[in-house]
Amino acid sequence: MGRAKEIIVKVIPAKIANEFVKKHHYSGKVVPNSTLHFGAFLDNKLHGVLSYGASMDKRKILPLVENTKWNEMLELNRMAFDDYLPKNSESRCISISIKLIKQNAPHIKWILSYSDGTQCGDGTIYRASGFYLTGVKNNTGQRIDLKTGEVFSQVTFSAHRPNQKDYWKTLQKLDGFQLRYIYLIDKSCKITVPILPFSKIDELGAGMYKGKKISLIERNRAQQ
Amino acid sequence: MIKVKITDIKTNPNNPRIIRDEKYKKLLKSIEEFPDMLNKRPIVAFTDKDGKYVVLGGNMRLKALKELKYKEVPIIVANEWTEEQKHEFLIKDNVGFGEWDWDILANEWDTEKLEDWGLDIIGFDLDADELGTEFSLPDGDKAPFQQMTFTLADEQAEQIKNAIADIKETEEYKYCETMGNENTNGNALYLIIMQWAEQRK
Repeated sequence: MGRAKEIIVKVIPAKIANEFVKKHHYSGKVVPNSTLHFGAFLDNKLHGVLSYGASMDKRKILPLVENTKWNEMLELNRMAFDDYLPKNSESRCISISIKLIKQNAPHIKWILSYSDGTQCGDGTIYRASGFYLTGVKNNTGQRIDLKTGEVFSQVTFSAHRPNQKDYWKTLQKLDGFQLRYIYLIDKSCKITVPILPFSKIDELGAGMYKGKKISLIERNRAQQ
Repeated sequence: MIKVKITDIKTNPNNPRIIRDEKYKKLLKSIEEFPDMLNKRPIVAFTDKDGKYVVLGGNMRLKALKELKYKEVPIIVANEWTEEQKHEFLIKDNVGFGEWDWDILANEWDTEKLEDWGLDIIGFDLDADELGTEFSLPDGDKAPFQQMTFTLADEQAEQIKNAIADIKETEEYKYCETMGNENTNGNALYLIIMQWAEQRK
């Protein structure tokens, strides 16, 4: 684990977290729903941010885990790190942040997160952190403006730009997958949707690492 | 390489590089601690019409050396260069083509020393000691949303509708804090109120 052990995780203000996410997240965008932000510190500087908050369509999300009440789950909706942090930092930060959620908000029973297999990755960090894979879907909801490189998701676009339907039609569809992961803080909770084996990622051709399409098998082979 | 009197060297007014106070202090310290570096990496200059030397590479070092009361400075003279080459050198001498491997620097090097030597360590300056690990989140089963009803004159309603439509077109609206609210009019109205509150501060 090396120096990853030295990382300190603290609650940080939204303003700083958003500034960091805009600079270091591959999308360059923040999620307005984020309400709880953790900062990862090493050598007295902020090198990573994990932002948690409510899910966009919470009514549909809650039933993913049996008997979840309105405030009993969180979505890890942004995670961004700079190049300074050593290997394994991401999973260590997730682990610390979940411990802090357990301590400060013991009513939170599970965490949801998505990985973007159209531009970023298939969720290596989530798998390493003990998340269950509960969905791999063709991500038809994302489009890119080829002139500016800006990527929009259908959900946020229709919410924030209701009068720009013609502009939406000019954007190019992004090819790829969205993977849904769930981490059970309360291990007695039951996930109501099928838990997928990680091999499903290769089966569906959804493998991606650092923005490049590559299967899990190919990655494992390269590491050996 | 030759050694010349520091009074015979002039800084280059066309050099677009600047140095901030903090970095300049580090440069002074760096020269004091490791003066032999000047012999291995001398100032590059050309001879001006008045016989004095004009710096092409090393303006900041010259400034520092003057402050450190150096009498003589090692330089390399590049009189054979064309005007275009001199201009090119001014920029290329300061462009870093490589990139730092931050993983190696963070793991194998003493980062305090690196900062001392003038390297800008990436990361945001934020004092972790000032921050805590405590927070609270809403619990219970109540959806944290409510509806509010107002009576408005037609003209007032029109104004509000226009304001809501206008703010939805702005960049700020894209990043408006929604607290999970999916009602776009509610979010827009909240943003308008927050901007009003900000103006009153």
